[in-house]
Parts: sequence; structure tokens; C-alpha cells
Amino acid sequence: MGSGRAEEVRQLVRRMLPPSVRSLIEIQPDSVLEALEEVRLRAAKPLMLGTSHGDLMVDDAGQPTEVPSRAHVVTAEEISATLQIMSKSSLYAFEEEIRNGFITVSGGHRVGIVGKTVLDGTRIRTLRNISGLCFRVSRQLLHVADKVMKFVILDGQVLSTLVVSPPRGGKTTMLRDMARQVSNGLPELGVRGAKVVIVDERSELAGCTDGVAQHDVGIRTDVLDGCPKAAGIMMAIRSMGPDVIVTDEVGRPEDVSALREATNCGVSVFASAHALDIQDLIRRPSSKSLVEEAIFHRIVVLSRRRGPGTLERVLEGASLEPIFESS
Amino acid sequence: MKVDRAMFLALLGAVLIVTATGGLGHVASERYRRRPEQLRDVRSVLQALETQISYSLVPLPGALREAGRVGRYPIDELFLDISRRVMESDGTHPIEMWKAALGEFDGVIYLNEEDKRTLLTLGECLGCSDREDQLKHIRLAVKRLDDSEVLAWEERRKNENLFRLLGVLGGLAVAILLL
Repeated sequence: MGSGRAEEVRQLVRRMLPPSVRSLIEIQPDSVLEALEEVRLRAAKPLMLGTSHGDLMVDDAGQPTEVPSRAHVVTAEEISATLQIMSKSSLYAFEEEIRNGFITVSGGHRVGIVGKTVLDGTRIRTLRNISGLCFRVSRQLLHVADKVMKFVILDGQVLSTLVVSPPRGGKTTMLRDMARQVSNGLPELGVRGAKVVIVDERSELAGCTDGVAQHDVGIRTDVLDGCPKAAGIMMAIRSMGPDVIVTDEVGRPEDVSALREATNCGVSVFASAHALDIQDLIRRPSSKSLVEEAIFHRIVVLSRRRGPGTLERVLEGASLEPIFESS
Repeated sequence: MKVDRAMFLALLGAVLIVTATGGLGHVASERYRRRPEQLRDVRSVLQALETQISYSLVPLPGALREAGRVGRYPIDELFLDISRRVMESDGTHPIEMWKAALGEFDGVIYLNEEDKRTLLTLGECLGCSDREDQLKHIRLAVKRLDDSEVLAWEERRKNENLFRLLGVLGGLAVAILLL
């Protein structure tokens, strides 16, 4: 952390953005870069730096400004130059990613893409006239799961756990650290190191580039990168004999049945879901069954109340009784 | 004895003149001789590139490097050079990279302006769209080069010997006049 993180962001920016945009971000003070969560480029709109304290616009000299008309306006050329750098001039190699609306670049950072969609029947074939890019600066925070682990492990057994939070609440960061900790082993809790498979549909958990995990996900962890969750979970059970399967943002009916299958096989599951809180989760038909069928033994609720990843409460999966409540 | 010497010098001069103009003719014919061969090389490289892109999904710098191997000098070097430029690219417009690379090989590449324009047009779209679209662009370029190549062989047949002959004959004419 500290200025190391600011330096990391500078390097990311140097590697990924064309000179005209890069120069504006590079000169930001460490305090801004440390809090940087995203960089948004929208054609003909001001360059927007999203920090944990809110949005920030900068003028052509890189000075912060509140007035949109004075801010640096992103040009279509800057967007296409960024795409060119990001894809190593090979958009065709990212066809599948673009279809899903994002590319994961080295370092595990995710770049969201919007533009004009081209349909092939009802399926999205590709995006053209790309008009907006959103760099989500991913951060690996080791030990964010420290407070949670003692609830997730019972008598040396890893319990299936669902992490719930609103968007950008720190679900992915939490899951990643939980995976790392059980994979490396937690002798104080009686876990000697579990075999973990991460089914990383959106390449966000492990942040693989060219098949290599960019984040530390533990020494007993295998990653199925870019694999659809439901198929990946079944594949992992059959092929890798895992103790724990980790996957992000479940909700579709096929995800739920794959999770059910996994827990029936005696495999524990760490998963996450978008929801404001547990009531919100139950209200939604897609995620309702996750809770009602008590697939998970523990439900961890996070919020952004004191910054991303604030631990709100931990619930028992079947009874929904709180085991831990933050003050 | 004196006469012989003058005669010898005159003959030597004549030979020099004929050699020089013959050389010029050769150089002029070189353009016609090389162009169709180079067009054929570029075409096979682009066809290899098509495979690299459509079946192997190799990112562009690697695809250009691998495909370039199919060609002979200087076409192989040209594609290697472009590959390097794309790899080190800092968001430079692709057309600038291709222009610069073509400029680098100015004396040894005998493609004409139209051929170069075909390559630049292709260079501009390479890597900027999905696979299907890439293939369309490559195939269009191959087709264009193919057409140019047919004409280029024709031109070569007509002009290659013509220029050589013109060189030698022109030299002879000058030499005779001077004698």
C-alpha cells in the first residue's frame, strides 16, 4: 500500500493509456492515485477519475476542476488509441471478451467497453463505434478476509459461504482473499490447506492474463479462466477434485443448480451475489432459491459504509440468524 | 603503333559507354522484374496472416512476424519491421506505422503507389475489428494485389528485355557516333 500503490497505478496508466491521457493521470498526487478506483473515458465527454471519495475531473494541465467545460475532453481518437494499446492492436483476439463487454488486462484490471452493439439474431456479435471505456483498477488487499475466516471455518471444516454486497462493495476482493487463505492453510483454525478451484467467468477473481493468475490466490488453487460458471463448476468437480470451489456473482438458475450439485458432492462453495442486503437477495426470484434452499452455511454481508469491504454482518445460512453484527 | 593505341582507347571508351548504359537499362528493367515477384510474396504473406488471425487468433505483432516468414527478402523484413512497430506502439495511428515501415525499405521494395495504398488501407483496419471483418479486409487486399500481379507479370514480359536492350543499343549508338 502507501505510495507503492500509487506507483502501481502509474505503471498501469503508462502501459494502457495513450500519451495525451496518461500525462494527465501520471502527475496526480499520490493521495489521488491511492484512492483511484476507476478511470472513465467517454467520447466527447470529460475524462473522469473515480476515487473512493467521488468523481474527479481534471483540466488539460492535469489540475482538478469542478467545471465540466474546463475539463479535458476525451476524443474518439484517444479511445481508439487506448483500445489499440490494450488489445495489442488485435481486437479480433478479444472477440469473446468484447461480446461480454469487457477485457481483462495484465495485472487483473478490468476494462469495461460500451459502443454500438451488432446483433447476430438475438446474440450480441460484437461492439463497434466503441464510445466508452471504464478501467476498473483492481486491488488485491491481502488479509481483508481475516475478520471473516473464523466464521467461515467450523471445526476445521470450510463452510459454503455467500458474500453479499451492493456493487463495488468489495465482494470480489473478499472472495479472492478467502480463497487465498483456505488454499494456503489456516493452522490456527485447523485448516491445513484446501484444494481450491476458482471458476473465474469474468477473469476478475484471479485476473488471469495468458492463463497466469495475476493475483495471489493461494498455493493450492487452480483457475478455470473465462469459463461459464455452471459448466465450470461441474468441470471442476469432475476433473480437479476440489475441497472448495470459488466463483463470482451467481444468480442464474443454472448457477444455482450447479452450486446445489457441488454442495451435494461434499464440495464447499464460496460465491458472491449482488444485493443491498439479505432482504434484497430474497426478494429476487433468481437469487431467492440460493437462500431458501440453504445451499450456503454462512452469508457474509458487506457494504461501503466505511469504505469498500465494510463487514456488516455474518448470518447462519439456514436460519438467517446473525452470528456477527458490526456496531 | 600510334594508330593502334588510339584505336584501343576508342574501343575501350566504347565498351565503357555500352556497359554503363546497359547497366542503366538493367536498373530500369529491375523495377519490372521485381515488382510481380514482390507482389506475389506480399500476397502469400497476407494469406498466411489470414490463417494466423482467423484460426490461431494470434495477436497482431506475432501474427505479422509469423506470416512474414512466408515471404522472401525484402518482404519478410518489411513485415518483421511492421510487427516491431505494432508491438511497441504507443497508440500511434496504424497507417503511420505502415507508412514508416514502407519508407524504411524504399530502395529495395518495387511496389508502386497503388500497391502501397492497398497495403496502407489494409494496415489501417488490421486489428481494429472482429475476426470476420478482418478476413474480409485481408481477402479484399489479396484480391487487389492479385489483379495488380497479373498486370505486373504482363508488364515485366513486355518491358524487362525492352529496357535492357534499349540500354545496350543506346550505348552502342552513342559509341558509334563518337567513333
